[in-house]
Amino acid sequence: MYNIYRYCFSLLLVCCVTTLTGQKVDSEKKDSTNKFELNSLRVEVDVSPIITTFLNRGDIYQYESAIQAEINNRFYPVFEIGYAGANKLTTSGINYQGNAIFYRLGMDFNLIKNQIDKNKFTNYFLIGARLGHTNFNYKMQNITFENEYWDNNFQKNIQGESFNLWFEISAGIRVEIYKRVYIGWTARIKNLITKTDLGDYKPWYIPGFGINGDGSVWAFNYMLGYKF
Amino acid sequence: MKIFITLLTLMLLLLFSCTQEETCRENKQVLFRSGFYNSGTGNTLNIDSITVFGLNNYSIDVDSLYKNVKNINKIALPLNNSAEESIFVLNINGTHDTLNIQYSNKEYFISYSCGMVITHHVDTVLSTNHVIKGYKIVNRDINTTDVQHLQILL
Repeated sequence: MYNIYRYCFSLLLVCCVTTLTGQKVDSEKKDSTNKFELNSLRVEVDVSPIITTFLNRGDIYQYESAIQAEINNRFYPVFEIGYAGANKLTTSGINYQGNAIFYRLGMDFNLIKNQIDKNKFTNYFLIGARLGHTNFNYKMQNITFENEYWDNNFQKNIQGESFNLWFEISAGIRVEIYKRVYIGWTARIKNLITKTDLGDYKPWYIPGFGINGDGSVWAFNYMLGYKF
Repeated sequence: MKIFITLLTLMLLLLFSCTQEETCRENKQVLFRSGFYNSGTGNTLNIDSITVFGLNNYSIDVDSLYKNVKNINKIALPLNNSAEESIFVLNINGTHDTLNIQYSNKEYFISYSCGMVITHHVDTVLSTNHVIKGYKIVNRDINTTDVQHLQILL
């Protein structure tokens, strides 16, 4: 698993370098000030669900958008909001249903120096972190309890409530393809902070986080945005 | 154009790598495990021949779990999930004894690929004493772990 992570990370870095070296970057030093200065606001929509919904055969759906500020040409606080859910028949026969709105709050840092020349396109190579949250109800239907010897197999439905907090490390790029119009992607690795006790039932899918397995979760967003 | 192709390829690679199929790789059997011991020495004892079957609520015997099994020193019995008592008849070398196990049940979630099981906590064990001379509960929690719960002294 570690090798897969290392391979993916290397691939991301190579991709960043090839993308960003395609355009010349003039590095001009800007006077550094301690004053708060809101440079821009970028609104983005994740367009990856066009493909992911198809790949997941409709079992999982996720739609999200983000707003990111640029402060003092250095700090990039970001707020992400979305709606996601799952309707999945698992291999054990449990039919899982759950959906909710989720939120993420975080901060990015741009590793590329900003350009002063407004006639030139700007690019971003962002590294950052997020704290995600969602609270929702879910259903687990047709849970089968087998007891073949005593011939009393039975089924049960359960409704649960789940409070979730998770932490993300993210990396991504944004490329200005037209005046103030940006495309790019964000790759993120997520770790759940709130965990259930051994033996307790839990949601199969956490909106905004992903499939609720034992370890970290990878995710990928393909963003289309506009800078104000 | 190069940028678009690079981004799209990377996105597809990552998205395909995220799709996964699940299979159950964990033990789902919850069994009450008993071993036979010599009441004098405390050593493990092999039974020449044993037949074991359960009695349901209406005292009707159900299929044998062990039928004339030779040279055995331990048995694993499934408890009734829908009741809080299970009774087993043990025919040890031609002599019958009954083993009455009283317990509480609890739902236990393994995973979405394996599902859920009922685990038990043993409260009391009772037995007749034709062949069985005594018993010792060594572990009261019955779950998917392969550990011994009862020592039957003969």
